[in-house]
Amino acid sequence: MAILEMKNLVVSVEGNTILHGINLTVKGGETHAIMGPNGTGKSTLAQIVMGHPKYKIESGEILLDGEVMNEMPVDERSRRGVFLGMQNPVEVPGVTNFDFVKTAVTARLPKDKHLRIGKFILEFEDSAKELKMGSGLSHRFLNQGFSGGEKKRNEILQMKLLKPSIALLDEIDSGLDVDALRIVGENVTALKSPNLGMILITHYQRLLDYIVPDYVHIMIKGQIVKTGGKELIAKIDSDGYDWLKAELGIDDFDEGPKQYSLGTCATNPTTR
Amino acid sequence: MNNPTYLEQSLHPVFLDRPLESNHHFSSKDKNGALIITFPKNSKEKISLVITSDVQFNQLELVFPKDSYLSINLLYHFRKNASRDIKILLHQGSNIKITETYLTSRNVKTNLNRILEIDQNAHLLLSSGLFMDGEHTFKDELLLKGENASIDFDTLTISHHQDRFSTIQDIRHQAKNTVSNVHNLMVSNNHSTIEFYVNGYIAKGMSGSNCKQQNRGVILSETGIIRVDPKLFIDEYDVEAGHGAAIGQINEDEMFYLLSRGLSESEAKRLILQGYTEPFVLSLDEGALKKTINQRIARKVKGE
Repeated sequence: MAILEMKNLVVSVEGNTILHGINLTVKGGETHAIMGPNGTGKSTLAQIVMGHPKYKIESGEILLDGEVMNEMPVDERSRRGVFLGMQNPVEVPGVTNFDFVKTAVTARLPKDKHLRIGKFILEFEDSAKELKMGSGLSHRFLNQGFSGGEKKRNEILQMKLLKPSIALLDEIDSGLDVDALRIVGENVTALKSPNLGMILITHYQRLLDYIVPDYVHIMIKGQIVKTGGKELIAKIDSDGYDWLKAELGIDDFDEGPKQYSLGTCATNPTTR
Repeated sequence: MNNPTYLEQSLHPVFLDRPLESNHHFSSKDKNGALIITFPKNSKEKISLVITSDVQFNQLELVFPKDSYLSINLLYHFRKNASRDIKILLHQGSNIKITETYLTSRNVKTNLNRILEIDQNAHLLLSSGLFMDGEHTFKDELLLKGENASIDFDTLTISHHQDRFSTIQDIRHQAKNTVSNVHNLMVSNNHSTIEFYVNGYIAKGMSGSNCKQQNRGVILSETGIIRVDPKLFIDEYDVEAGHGAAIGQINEDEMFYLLSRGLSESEAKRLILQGYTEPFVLSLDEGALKKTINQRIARKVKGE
């Protein structure tokens, strides 16, 4: 049974601190929902657990099964069982969906084992069917030309085939219509087991109607400010977050104006 | 001089550095040092021509007759410095697919001047893969001479070490309702340089024409260079035209996505670059040449 722990985790991006001391433990078999207003650091939390190089851990620790993984490379985290279902999965032209997933599954096999390709093809097709993904999916380029809903279902397809022990699903419900939401919800629920600990990041109750969490955490301004059971979901859905901000004395306007950079073109300096 | 095995084994190729045999599918003649090859209207077999640095002529002319429908492989293989003029003529109504591959067996300098003339209602689908070592200059003149003439021109250039590729593409719309789609893909590794100067011209009166240029480049090293200068010279109102260039190092988010699925950095890079190389590789027939091209691509991408 896997255990993911975050201890006093402080994270920044481009000099701005986003997470201000997160403490959270997720064990195999548990489903945690993280809710919160926009821009509060929920996606940052998911990305830093996966090891996105854009984010910097200022202090604190992320542990997987007791081992600190602050410096662990992204691919190793994945092979150790961490999965991130992304809010905006990138498109990779020229790489077929099947080749990609096959390469990813092969990457986590022990060196002396080979992928049984026939068995894998059947598993791929069955999983795609369960997610009601159209035929020809395997030959399409990774996420290229996929609708928002198809991209999200493709994330769950990968999760089913990669069989993680810790999964973070970042707004997996956005862009899904009612039927697609149900399909995704049912498929994720079917994956629940003592071997899988899950973190669901969402804004809405509707996803949590299908994937019932054991714990609900409310995140505001980079901190988990309240933890409870599923009763919290209905309260948030009906009343929003203002009551909680008032209860905890959180002021929306206590930060000065921030300066943002629009970034620069990703060109090699020598090409300019 | 012996050619590499992969050339000999590529779909019964015709070597233009050897005497042509009577059973070849086309007619040829020498004219003032130029070799002119006229193809049949169609052929059940794919025709492969090999042009090496040992060929005796300086100018090659490939002629596709009226209403011809053919798929051709052109293999250029240079083991020494060479300069060649090549002219490709598509007569009225012809529909031709050419896949051309450029290889060298060592660092050499080449200079290729090409003129592609496309007549009325003719279409050329031209895919070029440039996998040579050394310094190479291409000057392409694409002439859309007849109404409804069209060309789809895709190139893939991969460079490493000290390679230098410089390509000028002039696309001239000289008739009404002509269409050009140029798509250049570039991968630069180590200290190599790739330059593309892409110029689209639509002359006055050539209404209904459509001129598109897309250029994408990825730089794999700190010192690799890709320069693209796409230009449009439009002298007519009733046309469609567009151009663009996107050059950068491998996208951080793409890398993160692939790494987050457990792929190693080298495997992730390989898959991302497959997006650049696969369209050309897929256009090749299965066989020794395709295997060689895949090996060349892997070698250049690894910087070996």
